[in-house]
Amino acid sequence: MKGKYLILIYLVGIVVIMLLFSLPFLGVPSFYLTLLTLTYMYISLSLCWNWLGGFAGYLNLGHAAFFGVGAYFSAMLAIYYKVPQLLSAPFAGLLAAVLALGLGFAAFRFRGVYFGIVTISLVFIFLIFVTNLDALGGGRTLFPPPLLSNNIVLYQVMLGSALVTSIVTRFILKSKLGWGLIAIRGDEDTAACIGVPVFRYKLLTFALSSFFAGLVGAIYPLLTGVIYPSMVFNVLISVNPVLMSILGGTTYLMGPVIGAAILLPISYYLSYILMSELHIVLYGALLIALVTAQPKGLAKWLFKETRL
Amino acid sequence: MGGLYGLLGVGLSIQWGVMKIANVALPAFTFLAAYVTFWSKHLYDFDPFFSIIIVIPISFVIGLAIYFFLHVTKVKPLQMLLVAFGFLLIFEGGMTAAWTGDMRAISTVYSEVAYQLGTFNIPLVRLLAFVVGVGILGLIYFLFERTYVGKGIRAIVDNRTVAMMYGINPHRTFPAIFGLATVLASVAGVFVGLTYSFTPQSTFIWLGKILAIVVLAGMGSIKGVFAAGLILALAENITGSILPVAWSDFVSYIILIFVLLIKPMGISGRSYE
Repeated sequence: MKGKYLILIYLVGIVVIMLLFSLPFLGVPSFYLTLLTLTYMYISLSLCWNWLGGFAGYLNLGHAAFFGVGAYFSAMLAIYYKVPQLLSAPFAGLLAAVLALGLGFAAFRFRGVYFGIVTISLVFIFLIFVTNLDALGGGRTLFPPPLLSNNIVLYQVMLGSALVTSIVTRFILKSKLGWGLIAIRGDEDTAACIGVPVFRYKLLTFALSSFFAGLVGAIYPLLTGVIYPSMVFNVLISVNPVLMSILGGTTYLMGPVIGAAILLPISYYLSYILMSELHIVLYGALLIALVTAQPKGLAKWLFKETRL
Repeated sequence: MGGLYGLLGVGLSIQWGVMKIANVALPAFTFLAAYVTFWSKHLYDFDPFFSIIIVIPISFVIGLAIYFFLHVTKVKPLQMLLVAFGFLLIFEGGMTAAWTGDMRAISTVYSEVAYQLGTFNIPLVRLLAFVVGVGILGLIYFLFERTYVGKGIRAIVDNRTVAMMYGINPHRTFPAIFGLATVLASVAGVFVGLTYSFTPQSTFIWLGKILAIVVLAGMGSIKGVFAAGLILALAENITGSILPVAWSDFVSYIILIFVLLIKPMGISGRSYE
């Protein structure tokens, strides 16, 4: 796949992306548009989870915490100061990244199971915190005004964010950071010995991945129209990227994309058919099945050469 | 409350300490037991203390099943956390699906009784929870520190490979310990059901408490678990009296993180790795 084929692949890629961007104008029903928008959102989330979870092998279950921080930040700005969410989204991401820097400073003193437990605690800490804070609605359902947005804009923005995260993933993989992260997954102590700035890399990756979690989180309430603490500080939002990445293959660039593209529509349809509680049961079963089977991911069959 | 908290923590403490399995699904058993107690009281008018007898074999069998599942699939510790989390989701979702997310509380003849001790008003159920908690902790302590079996278990904690070289077979003791820990979590659940009102979602809040107790105590230390239970109960009561009551759920997670940061060995000083 070198030389002239590469140009062809790029061309096909660009055409597909153009097609995806113009999809809302081709008369696609709004149900599918929403579905696609959600899919892009989870592609974005899974990709940026995978930087730490897949490349570095750190089980980060705190994604929902930063997702929620972003969501509440921009929703509050929209409610109190009428700032459009799409404008405040990057700042929501920045806030999440700064928080991640601070919290990561503490969390990265742990490895393995302890890191997982600390990060999942973050979700519950934020959930309890926001639920009890009257200034943030005190656990009630809020209706942030949808400023400067409609289905089509949301679709484009989410597609854009999925694209940007893919490109950033590509850059990370090509850079020293990516190799450093993979070395950390292999053996952290050895990596530190041969001069990989282990702590700085982990912290940077955590902040970067939280930035995108916060950014996407800021846009999410526009899709639902409402916001309440257990909607965004939801363990399922942390677990979803894990599942999608494992399904698609955590060691492949495109793994999380494939995983999200398969799993999200399925769970979206299931949530129509089943009660949401049974949905959670299925998720638990899927999590156990995927983790114990330890598949290399579906991406294995598609990409032979990009294996890390 | 310290005794009950200790009872809640000891299950995870021995699973984590002895078997290196961070079984976050344990609080699910706690609330499963609380629901069994609720329904056996509600539908058949069973005495809640009778339902302990039902709960023990059920939870032991489920615990064994989970152990053998983990054993057969040979998952690594990090994946173990995810698998346990999967079980937690299954139980939590299953409980919500079966019995709705409504708040439940068990009221029995016991819940009316309270004793006056100076200015304090001590409800009978809480007193019983404390006594049973301390009693079971004492038994476990005796089992671990004073018996031959306990000696073997402690040897496994110290160094599994060397223990195996001296003829201790961890695969014979492990299923029993795993089942025992599950039973302990469930027995605690009966008392949790009697003392608190609960929903399936309580599982997540109590997960924080249990983790805080275990981490504060240090791995596999029974005395530490008891002390940590007392400390957490005290800390929650103090917060509850200063701030609105809802904030007291917050304390456990804050304790968890601060202990991990400042003194990752816990108060008993036993090592983690």
